[in-house]
Amino acid sequence: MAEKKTMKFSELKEGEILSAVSYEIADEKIEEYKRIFGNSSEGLPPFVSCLYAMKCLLEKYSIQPGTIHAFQEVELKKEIPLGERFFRSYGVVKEKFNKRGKNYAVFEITTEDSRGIIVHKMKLGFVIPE
Amino acid sequence: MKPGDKLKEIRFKITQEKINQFAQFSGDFNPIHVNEEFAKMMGLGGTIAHGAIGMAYIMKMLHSEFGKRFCEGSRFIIKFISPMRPNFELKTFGEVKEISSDSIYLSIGVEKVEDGAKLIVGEAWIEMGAHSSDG
Repeated sequence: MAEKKTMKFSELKEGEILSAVSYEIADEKIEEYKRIFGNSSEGLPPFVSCLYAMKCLLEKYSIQPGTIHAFQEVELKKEIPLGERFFRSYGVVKEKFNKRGKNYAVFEITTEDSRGIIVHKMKLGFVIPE
Repeated sequence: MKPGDKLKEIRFKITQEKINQFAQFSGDFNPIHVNEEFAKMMGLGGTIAHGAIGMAYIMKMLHSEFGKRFCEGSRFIIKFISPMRPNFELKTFGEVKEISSDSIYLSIGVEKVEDGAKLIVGEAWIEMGAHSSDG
């Protein structure tokens, strides 16, 4: 596995690919979610799946201390059936820009289930210190 | 459901313990969340909660209200406009703004219980087309 780089605004490139990462969401993680947020549904809470989707970003970059989550867009396309635990996420650096002296980077991440069906898409916006 | 209707709010309190729990859960140990001194050095005045904590409660509110429709045909955009700090008593909000033949448009977010100050604001669209039982 390639060594992780610290995410730096100056080094990010629009169109840069975040390679696909496959993973299994552990039952323990769902239980942990329920302990923090309460038991909201059977099966896999959509938030847990959205959180795991960050893996394709976090496998490539470590987040620079001081980075701030500025905005997020989520499109949920398919309910995850009870028992479904295997997913694949991939992404791209959608855009980067400076606004009012702050460096913004926007990542677009797509997640598929084990059959290759898209379950959700997200855009995450971060303010990066440098 | 009609314009002006409000979704059932979810109340929650931000504590440093909850922030630490979430850091463990998410693997996000950015020191602005868990290191008081670092957060002060960054000009934040102290640790702040992960924005995703607020997002989780917003998603829970929408999921509770719309169930499968939320999971199979929705979009939402949220902006983290002000930090959620330890000891803040917060609640989600959701209000129906428009209803068309195929979707519901809502304003959503998280605000302080004390004075209604908005910390997260956003919009959501829920598709209301027919859903078969087998998806």
